[in-house]
Amino acid sequence: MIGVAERILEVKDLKTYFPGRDELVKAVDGVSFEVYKGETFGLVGESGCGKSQTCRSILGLLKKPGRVVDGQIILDGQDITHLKEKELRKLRGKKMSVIFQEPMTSLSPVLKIKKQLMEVFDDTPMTRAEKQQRAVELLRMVGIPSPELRMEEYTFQFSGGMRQRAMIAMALGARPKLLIADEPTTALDVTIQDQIMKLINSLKQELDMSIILVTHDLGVIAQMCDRVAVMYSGLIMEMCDVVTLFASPRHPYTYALMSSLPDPANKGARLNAIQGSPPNLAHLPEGCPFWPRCTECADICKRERPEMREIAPGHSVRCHCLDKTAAYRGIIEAPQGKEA
Amino acid sequence: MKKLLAMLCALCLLLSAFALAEEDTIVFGGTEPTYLEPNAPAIGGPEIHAVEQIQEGLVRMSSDGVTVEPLLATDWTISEDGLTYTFNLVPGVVFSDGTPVKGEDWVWSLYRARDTETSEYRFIAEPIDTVEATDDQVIITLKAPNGAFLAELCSFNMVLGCKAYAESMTEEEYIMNPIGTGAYMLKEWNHGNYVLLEKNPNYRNADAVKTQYIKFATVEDDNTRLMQLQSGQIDIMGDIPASLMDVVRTNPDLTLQTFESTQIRYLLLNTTMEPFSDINVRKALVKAINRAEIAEVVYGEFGGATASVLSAAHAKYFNDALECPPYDPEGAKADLAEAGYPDGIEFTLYSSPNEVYQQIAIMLQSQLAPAGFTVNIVTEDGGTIYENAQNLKNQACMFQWSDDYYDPSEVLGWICDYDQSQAWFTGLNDVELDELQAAALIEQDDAKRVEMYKELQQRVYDNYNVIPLFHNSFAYAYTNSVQGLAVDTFSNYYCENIYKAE
Amino acid sequence: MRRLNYILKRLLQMLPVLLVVTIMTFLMIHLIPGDPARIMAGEKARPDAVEAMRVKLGLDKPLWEQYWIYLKNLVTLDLGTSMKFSRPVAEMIGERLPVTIALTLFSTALGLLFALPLGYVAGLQKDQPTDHAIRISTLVAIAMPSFWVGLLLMILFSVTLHWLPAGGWDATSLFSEFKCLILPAFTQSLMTAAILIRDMRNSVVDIIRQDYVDFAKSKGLSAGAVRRRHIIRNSMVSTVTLLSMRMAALLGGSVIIETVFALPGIGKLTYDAISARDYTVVQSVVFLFALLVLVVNLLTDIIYSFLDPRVEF
Repeated sequence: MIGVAERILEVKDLKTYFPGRDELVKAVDGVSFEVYKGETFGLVGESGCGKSQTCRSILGLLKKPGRVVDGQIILDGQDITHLKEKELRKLRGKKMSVIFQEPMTSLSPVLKIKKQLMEVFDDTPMTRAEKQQRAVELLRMVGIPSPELRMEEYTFQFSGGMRQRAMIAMALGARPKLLIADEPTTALDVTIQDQIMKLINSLKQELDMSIILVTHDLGVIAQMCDRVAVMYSGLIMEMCDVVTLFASPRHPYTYALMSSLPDPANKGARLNAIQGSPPNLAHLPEGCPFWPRCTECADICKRERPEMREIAPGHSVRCHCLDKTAAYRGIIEAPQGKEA
Repeated sequence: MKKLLAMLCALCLLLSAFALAEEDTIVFGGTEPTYLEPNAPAIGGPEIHAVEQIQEGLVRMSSDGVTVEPLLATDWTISEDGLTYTFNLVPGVVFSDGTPVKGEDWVWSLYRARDTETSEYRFIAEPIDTVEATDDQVIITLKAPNGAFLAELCSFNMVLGCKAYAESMTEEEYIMNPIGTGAYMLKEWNHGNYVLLEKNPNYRNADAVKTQYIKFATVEDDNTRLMQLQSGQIDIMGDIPASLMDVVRTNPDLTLQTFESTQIRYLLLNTTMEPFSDINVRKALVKAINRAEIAEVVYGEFGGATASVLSAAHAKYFNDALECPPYDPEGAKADLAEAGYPDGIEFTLYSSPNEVYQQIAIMLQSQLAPAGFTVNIVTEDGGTIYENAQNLKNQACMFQWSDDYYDPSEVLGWICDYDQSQAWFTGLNDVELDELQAAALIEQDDAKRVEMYKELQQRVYDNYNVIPLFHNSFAYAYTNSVQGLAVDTFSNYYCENIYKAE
Repeated sequence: MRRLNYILKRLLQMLPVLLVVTIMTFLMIHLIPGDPARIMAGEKARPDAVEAMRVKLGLDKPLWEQYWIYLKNLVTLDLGTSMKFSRPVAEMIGERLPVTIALTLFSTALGLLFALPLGYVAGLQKDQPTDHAIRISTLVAIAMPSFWVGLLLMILFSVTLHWLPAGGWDATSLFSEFKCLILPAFTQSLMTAAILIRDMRNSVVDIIRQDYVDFAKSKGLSAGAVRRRHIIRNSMVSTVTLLSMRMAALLGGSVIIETVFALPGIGKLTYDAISARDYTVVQSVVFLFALLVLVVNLLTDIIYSFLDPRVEF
């Protein structure tokens, strides 16, 4: 049993709503999970499922009019749910930081890279020369060649991959305990993707960090994560370790996601898309949000939202039809002794 | 720290208070003069007011505008044939730089007034044939007898300048900085900002001059000028528009004073084109305007309707028998129908952006409407209107006239002598009128002369081409401490009499 | 180095533009009805005086010859003599231009002083009451005619309180000049501020949505650092461009402000010259103004390139 002191982050029943003029968008509608020290926790789901908003809620960087209306966020033992901006600022960069999907728009177009790196050390008593030295080291750490020269350049002069590396350098400059990576490789091409992933992994070891990795790419999940939560419509549908996820998923949505992956053995075959379209978060159907697209849908699913249930140690599922889904087989062989 | 700031502010305010009230200066607010010499091009009010403090002539008009008084001449005689005028000069007069006045200065000055090619007012000196002078006398011989000559000699451009001084510099420099024998001389000209005159220490009556400095400050906007008057930045402002007069009247620190003037506004109807080529149409129009109402609206108590093109200021010459017909739009409409225009007439009236003309135009438009006249008001800038009027292109437009000296021949010459202005841009060539005007000019017998000028006014009245609308006084506003301001009928004033009482 | 080449290229490009300006100005002023010889000679002048004036001003020569003389003089930096005032045009401009420049700089500085904080706040508080209040204020400021505002200010500060002069230009000291400029600069700055506030606000609204603002915050930067280095710095780029355009317009002088406040500036000079058909003054002033606009444009582009490193030459 993993002890409480080993958790870097606890999210309990988080609800983040966006009150609009005519409607209320429930972006995150009761999400609970934990991230342990030293692990990479994956948040996977389609666009609009609430994974990014969950992260922004944790960081306190929600765009207006989004608000955390319920729940708790506990970072390294400290309840930060209702923390004032001033206090949150002290934690950002130092306890938790973030890297975004699109590095071009995440870096300032008018400041030199050097300046943007040195900013990280604003609150420290370091001298200017020392900050510059640290900047050089950071760039070297993320694998940018000739860092002293490159840091005099501007954002637009860096390539996509280099920008992402720079952003990583900035995010890790103050050695945070928790890094939230929101689709860090989605905007990069495949070869660079791989490099960045490896970079993040090695840095994680070096700096002894935990990572929340948000993505819609199952391949990334497979490569990087220890544990995963599958989100749909503002809720976690299934949460388990990564092997279980691919070997024996139990939620119809998770299974459908697996099935929609192209099968190398079956070249030329049609892809299995999940029927229907993602729900409008302002007008959620009653009951389980997935029921309009669910192959296992039963009457009760239309009436009652299922609760999250732990069906095995470290494996929780939110579904009424678990008996039906027991028959699911994942896309990999379940390793010995891990049969669900 | 706060105390220091407060002290600093107080000090600044104190200093600025001193700056505002320059010692022993009277400040006029108005338009900037272009030049300071009367023979320079385009002389107008601002120029004349500055010039007449600096240079003087043989004679000057009395302040009631009726009598010719000696100035640099002590007395004079006129020959039997009316051709030779002999003036005896005041002895010992010097220019402001100490140079004594010599006969050759008079000769040079009077020929200059007549012969400067680009001078607007050289026509005033036109009657002069020859000038001879010694240090004691000036003898002027005319080309023909001229009843108006003495009055003409009172004009601002028939003044004495220093020949040697003028010839020591270019013409351009001279017209910016002349010297004279007057009470004041030019001290400083800060272009765009002000002209500063200083008391002439060599003036023959220097002891009587009470104010050391006269400043003409350039403030174009009427409202700003008034505010500067109210705040004490300027002491005197002329040309108060009627709309601001009440402000002055209700302010206990300011005085409003009106002076008689010869200014009249006229409506000119072009007789070379339709519809005003028909005299009956013109007559009908005159029936359908209410001049008293226009005067009332534009100038309030300071204006009045007038039926004669000559100002009443010319006293005995003024034909007071002429009357404005009563306002009768119905009758006018009938007259139009009879003249062949049962559906009325449409014409364009050109006005400059000037507030007074705009008001007149609007009033005319509304007065003429019930009589069947549809007036289109077109606003153009002054230069454009002038050019088109001169070329007889405008159907109807408005102008003003103020006399420069006390004699009816100036305005009546302008209107009746076809060569001068093509009958003031109306294109009406009345040969008899022209001949009568020429005869009246040289008539020696006073009574006959009066008769002839009265007849001229009647004839112009009967031509219905130049329609006088109303006359108005000038109004000046000044702070209560200012004393001695006296503006004559021809808009002249002399600063040697002005001072600020304690 | 590339920047230098660029500047030189731009300066060369100005020449044909300026040539076209001189031709157009010349044609326009000569084609407006209104005879300068008559206007200069005066209403009452007799025909012979008018003709003498015409010859004196060189207006009896054919149009092309007049233009050629003008162009020749211009190239040798001889701006000619004013037809109305008989004074060298260069001297007249030299007297007036400093006043206009002082006024422009002062009012632009004031405008910026108002606009930056207000625009910033309006952008942050988008659609909140503060934003609405600020935007309505700018509408009101744009709607109020400047002469009216000027007169009201003078009534208050000059006539009633006697703190400031009611217009006029007192060059006895820097301080007296300052006092003369306060009210007109303030009046002029209202329009400038209104324009800038709107632009600043829109920039800010746009920028705070950007990811880099969030990323900057995520680094733990203080609110002030985010504001200065990221929001304002990026918002300013377009605002600076707008500001330069406005300054170029103001340098041509504002006739209304100069008339109401009795300031001897370039605007009034130009207006009076046009009314008087003072060809030489009009041609020179318009040329000067065109030159100023071109130079300010160039300076703007250069400044912009320093602010936004993405701009290439």
